[in-house]
Amino acid sequence: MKRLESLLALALAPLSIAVAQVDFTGAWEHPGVFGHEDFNDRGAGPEIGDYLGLPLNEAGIRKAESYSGSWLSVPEHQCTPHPAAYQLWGPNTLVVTTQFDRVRRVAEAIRLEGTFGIDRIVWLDGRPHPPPEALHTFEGFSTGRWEGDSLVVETTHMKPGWLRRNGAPTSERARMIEQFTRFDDYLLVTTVVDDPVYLAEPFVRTTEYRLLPRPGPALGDPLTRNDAPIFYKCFPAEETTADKYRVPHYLPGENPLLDEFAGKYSLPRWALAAGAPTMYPEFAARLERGGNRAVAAPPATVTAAAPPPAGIRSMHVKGKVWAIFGAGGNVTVQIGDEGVLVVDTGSADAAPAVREEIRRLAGDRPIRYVVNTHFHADHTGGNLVLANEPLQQAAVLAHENVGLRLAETGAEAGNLVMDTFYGASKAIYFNGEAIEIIHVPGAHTDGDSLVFFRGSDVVSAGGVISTTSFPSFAASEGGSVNGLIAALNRILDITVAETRAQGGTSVVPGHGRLYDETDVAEYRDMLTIIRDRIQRAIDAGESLADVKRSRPALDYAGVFGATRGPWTTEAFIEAVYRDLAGDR
Amino acid sequence: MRRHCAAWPSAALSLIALTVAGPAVAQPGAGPGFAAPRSARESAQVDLTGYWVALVTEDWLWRMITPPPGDATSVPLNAEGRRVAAAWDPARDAASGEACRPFGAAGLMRMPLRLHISWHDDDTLKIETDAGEQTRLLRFGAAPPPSTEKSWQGFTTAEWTRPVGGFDLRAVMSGRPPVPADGPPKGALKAVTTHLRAGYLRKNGVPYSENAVLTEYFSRFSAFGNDYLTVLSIVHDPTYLSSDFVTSSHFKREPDGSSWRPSPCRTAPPLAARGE
Repeated sequence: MKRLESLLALALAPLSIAVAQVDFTGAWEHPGVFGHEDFNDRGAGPEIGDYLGLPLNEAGIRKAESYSGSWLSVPEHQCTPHPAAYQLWGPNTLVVTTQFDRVRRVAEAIRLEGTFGIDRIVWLDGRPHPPPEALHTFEGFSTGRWEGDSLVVETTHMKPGWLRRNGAPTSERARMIEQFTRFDDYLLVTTVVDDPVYLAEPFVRTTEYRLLPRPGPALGDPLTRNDAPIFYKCFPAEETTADKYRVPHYLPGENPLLDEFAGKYSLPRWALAAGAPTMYPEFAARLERGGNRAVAAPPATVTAAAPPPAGIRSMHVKGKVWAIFGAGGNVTVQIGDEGVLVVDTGSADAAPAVREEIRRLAGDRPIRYVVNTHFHADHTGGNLVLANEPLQQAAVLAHENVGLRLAETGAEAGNLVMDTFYGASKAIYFNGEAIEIIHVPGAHTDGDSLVFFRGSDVVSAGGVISTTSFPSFAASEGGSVNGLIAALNRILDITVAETRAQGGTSVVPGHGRLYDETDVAEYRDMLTIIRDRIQRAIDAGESLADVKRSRPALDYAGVFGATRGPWTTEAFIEAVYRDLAGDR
Repeated sequence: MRRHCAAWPSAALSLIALTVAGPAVAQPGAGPGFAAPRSARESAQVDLTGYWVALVTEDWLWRMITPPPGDATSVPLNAEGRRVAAAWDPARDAASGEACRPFGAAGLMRMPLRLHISWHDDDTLKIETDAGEQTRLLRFGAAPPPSTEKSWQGFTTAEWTRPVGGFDLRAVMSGRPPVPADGPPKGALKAVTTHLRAGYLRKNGVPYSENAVLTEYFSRFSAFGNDYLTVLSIVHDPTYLSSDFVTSSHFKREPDGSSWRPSPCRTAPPLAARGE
């Protein structure tokens, strides 16, 4: 048998060209190192204002035009890698390796490594994509399949990123399909990005690589040296004396670089904001006809995000912490030898199912503590079920304002909130780790707390973060927009990214998917930018109606907005306006 | 289990036979012992026919508008190429009847235009453009006759690339099962064009010479409900280039020819020199 295989190998050797058409492994570089196209992307970077040829809608244009290059000086963003939707177009070489399942002896994944990007793994073993609540990353989650002699890769779960590194955005709802095809010693990668938030139609890009003669790590790749991976170091540094919580951005109409770019290339200013039509041949004729025939980017017609799966479901977060979704508000659970600690208890009607899920996760360990991050019924409604353990009632901890608010509303859940605190924080030690309950005043309500599991490195953010809506608050409940921003910055004081601005400390929001530090920073950026836009309008004497017409949340509505329900985009804008205007 | 292990060498032998017997190029008129020869159209590995519109999402500043004279950014011109590029004079081109220089085969696919691809006959694929009104003929199994004159579109020979079908030969050799392909066989078209009349790689006179050889790979891709045509182009020109000029372009399928607007060769006036 061995001899036969040797003969086969010998016989097949001349056929290596045919084999090579599906063998992408090796080191690849753009022809001419920097490539013969996309020069601006591979060199110093595209200029601010060059949104030409991108199918952006009006939300995408607004987001792009507000981008400031100083954004990269923000501590939480300094180590941001090129995201998957851009990585291959930046200055890079590409190293492709195969990862084998040593038991089944099949290729389970292909690994893509590129300069300035972040390693991507393309799973070939048929595994499903993660649930919607899973953490997003800059590389996303990729699965691959063969179509003929091409590898087709589908990627989801990408963090907000960019199509060009001049602020042309992609959202967390973007999906990407790529086709890798080898033609002799060239690799052609066709990438299609679909983003219902910022794109009027899918964005397509093709790029080509040439096989380097020597297999192994790419030349000049800072991640590799002497064919061995080196430890990648990046940590934020304070490079200016500016406020560390600053969020650099341009207010609408105030970005001077747009006019500068248009002037440099003799383009009418409207062309920069035309979005999708700039891709098509007709646009050249429109430019020739003159500057009076402005073309506007298509409107943002965002379809609602797919609703999360029905029912109670849980996910391990980190260390001893799990998150339970589908109970109204999210429930955070810490499990250890001493028992169970629960942060928020969901709504009353979901409580039996939540209790059952905790039992599934923790067995017969009793619930010893319940912490309420604020008083809303979708976070305290399950108190009665979860705290009433048969042998010993769990202690229910919260800021004293939670107890007061519950008492005001007459909610039964309030009867159990006996262990309140009125200071800045409260700490307990349970299941082998310190747990800090940190009061953040005047944020979502006047009784908000963050819960920080020091050992597990998880923050439960309660009402301060909802990844499925704009941040909500009501002056009547003691909330405020600046309090929310301060609370988000408080979270950022706690969190530490693992590497390349992602991973590390995990954050369980009050609603929606898991966050990490970068996600919280993006959320903080969003709220700060919208706050600044509305504040400028107030300073200019604009009415609430004027502000609504200017759509200050346009570029974030596709992710966080709503036109129906208790917290619409309009309600959010009105709350911020009234809060800032002192009309509370 | 033993039987399973023994099956793979058989599969490999079959593959050898398939590889040796199946020519990489569709060969009309194959020798005796073969079935009746199949035309290029019958043996097509990918259907490229239809109307396609260029999506200018890359190099927009060098493709959608006419760059200033002498701007050959990222094109590997040699000294002579740079000299010729700097001397570009669109008025002279128009006056000498050479307004179609930017629409020659080596630059055509980078232009903002539409393609109509159809079968000219069973062994010739035709690519027409609306802008510039050019026609390219991709001939399967044909070699340029000695008397071929140089032209904007030159003489193109074409072949289907072998559909490997995701069959991992290395997997066979190592005794592990290959990854099966999904969907129908999917290949590509390789085209080599010679006998080109000297033209431009870009609208602003970045030159290629009549010695240029253009190699292209045409393939298709579907995503998010759209069909795309991709073209990988490699221009070899020892006269003006210091190395091969490699680009890739993409087109989106259109349902019909309702957007087809033929227009003669024309170059919009260049922008003022960049940075001024």
